[in-house]
Amino acid sequence: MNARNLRRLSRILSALLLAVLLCLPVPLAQAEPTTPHPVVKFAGVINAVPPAADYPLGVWQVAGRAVTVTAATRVLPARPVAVPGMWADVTARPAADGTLVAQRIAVMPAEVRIKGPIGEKPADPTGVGTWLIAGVSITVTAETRLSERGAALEVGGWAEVFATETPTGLVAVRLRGIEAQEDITVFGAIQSFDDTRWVLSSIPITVITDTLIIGTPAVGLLAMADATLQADGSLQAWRLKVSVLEPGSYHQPISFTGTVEALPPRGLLGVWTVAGRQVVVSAGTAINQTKGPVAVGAQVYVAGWQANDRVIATLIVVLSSPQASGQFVRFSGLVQQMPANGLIGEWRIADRTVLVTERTRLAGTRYARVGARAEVGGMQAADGTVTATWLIIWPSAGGPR
Amino acid sequence: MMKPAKNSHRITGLLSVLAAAALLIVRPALHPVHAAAAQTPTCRELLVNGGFEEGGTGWSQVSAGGYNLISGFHPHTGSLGAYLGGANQADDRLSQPIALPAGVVSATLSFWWAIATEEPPGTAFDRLTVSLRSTDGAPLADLTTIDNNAVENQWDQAEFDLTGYGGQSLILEFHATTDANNITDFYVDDVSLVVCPAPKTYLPVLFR
Repeated sequence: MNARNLRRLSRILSALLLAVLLCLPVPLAQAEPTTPHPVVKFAGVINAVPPAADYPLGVWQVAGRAVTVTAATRVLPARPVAVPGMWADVTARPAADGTLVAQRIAVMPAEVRIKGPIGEKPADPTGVGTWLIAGVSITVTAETRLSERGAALEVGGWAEVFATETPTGLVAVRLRGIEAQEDITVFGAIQSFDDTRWVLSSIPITVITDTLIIGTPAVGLLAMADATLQADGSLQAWRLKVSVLEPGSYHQPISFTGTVEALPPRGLLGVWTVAGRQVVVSAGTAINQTKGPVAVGAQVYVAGWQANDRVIATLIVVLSSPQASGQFVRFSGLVQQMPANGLIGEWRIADRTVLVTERTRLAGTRYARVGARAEVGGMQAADGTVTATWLIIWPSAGGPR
Repeated sequence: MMKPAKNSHRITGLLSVLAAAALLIVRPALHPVHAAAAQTPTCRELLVNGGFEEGGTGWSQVSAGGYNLISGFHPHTGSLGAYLGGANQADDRLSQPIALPAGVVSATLSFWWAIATEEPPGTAFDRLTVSLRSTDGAPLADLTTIDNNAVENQWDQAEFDLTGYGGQSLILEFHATTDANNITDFYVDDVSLVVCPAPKTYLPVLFR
């Protein structure tokens, strides 16, 4: 072979090497753009799915939005095939033409979820019959699966029910006993909404001016209501969270965990210092104290959004507290005794000693009197004393049933 | 200087090796089970009763609360699945011995899981750890840990490559622990461990 042939072979080798490089799994020409597209997340009712021959590839309609599923989309579960009416949790990216390309779609059965107190249960020991959970009538059939592993399914206790809508009402698929929670929650599909009333999977929810609404509602999207049970058996939302995240549509969420370094001089509302950050806590901030009371030195999880140099908190969860002792309890009953002066001090409610502190969140204080009906959440010490993290006093005709 | 004829042979050989390397590199990355299944019909399931439809057959279960960990409460498919946790101070273990044959080209463990929880977000208070142990109980590897911060009520599939454990006898364990309040349910179903022996390979003759 002469020098000319060697040069020719060298060129062939170079071309072959170039071809190999171009065929590598992540070619440079298809690399991710340096600026990531915003991610869109939402959950809603599936309106349409691609034809069976193409499934799951093609265009899905979820809560009225078209979402393209490609071979790169993770579809969970892959089988059985989703059908209209089921629910889907979608994570997608807007393409250059504005259409949504799904990264992940989790298909779920259309099961409304309610966590709340059991108001009534049928006499039938098998549980078959009509239950009243968080004021909502639920039919339990022989096919309903029950679990009392977490707590007994008894009147006055709490339950989580997963139910499907039928022409005759909500029918329970699963029903599990749980511990008392700080709030009643309803998770379902938005069927209608206005300034005074939302309907989630056939369950009406009253909305008042103080109700905190997170996200922009739309029919077909899923939403979670944190609510209280009214005297008439209706549910009134203090917070409604729509399962949608549209970048740019509202403040981008942030969350972090840290130690509480400072609290407002009185009460919980105001500016906290958590891990060196200024955190604004308002009446609309949910504070979960089931793991312990708020205190300086407590470890907390903060969720909210950044506003200039401060964090506006929508949720604070106490993860651990130096004052933690005992178990979170929730109960209601008549006020039997109040402090001599003001509201801070020792109460007697439903035959239990309740300590109301400056950190206790109070509602309905204008109704406070011996004989009023009250609802308490707090930490119960070994001697039975409950340090209230919140206390609601109801009008004479009000209160939970 | 090399002789032209010898050079030609060497360059031809070099080209062949490069071409073979290119074919190996550009071959699309296939799912090991699917790829093996397509090539070798001898892949087989190693786990006994991975779908739990035969109750506790094949599984050992220990529950601090004394619960039957095989339950019809929330299966992924069929009428039974595993249900761990679901109570405060839970310490539940579900395990099965496995003997991975030597010389397998792939060994893929997969299972479906879901949770329901009352825990607030932010910290992993309750956990389900999936691990491998030696037959004498010594920990070998934690494959994954699922906790109360996972998305609730959505079935998801986890998958792990156990090919590197070929030739070993192991114990596959699902271990759930929960803290003192706010329960978390861990549901597991359709557990599978598919092993595929090495396929017969035919190398092209590149040199005379």
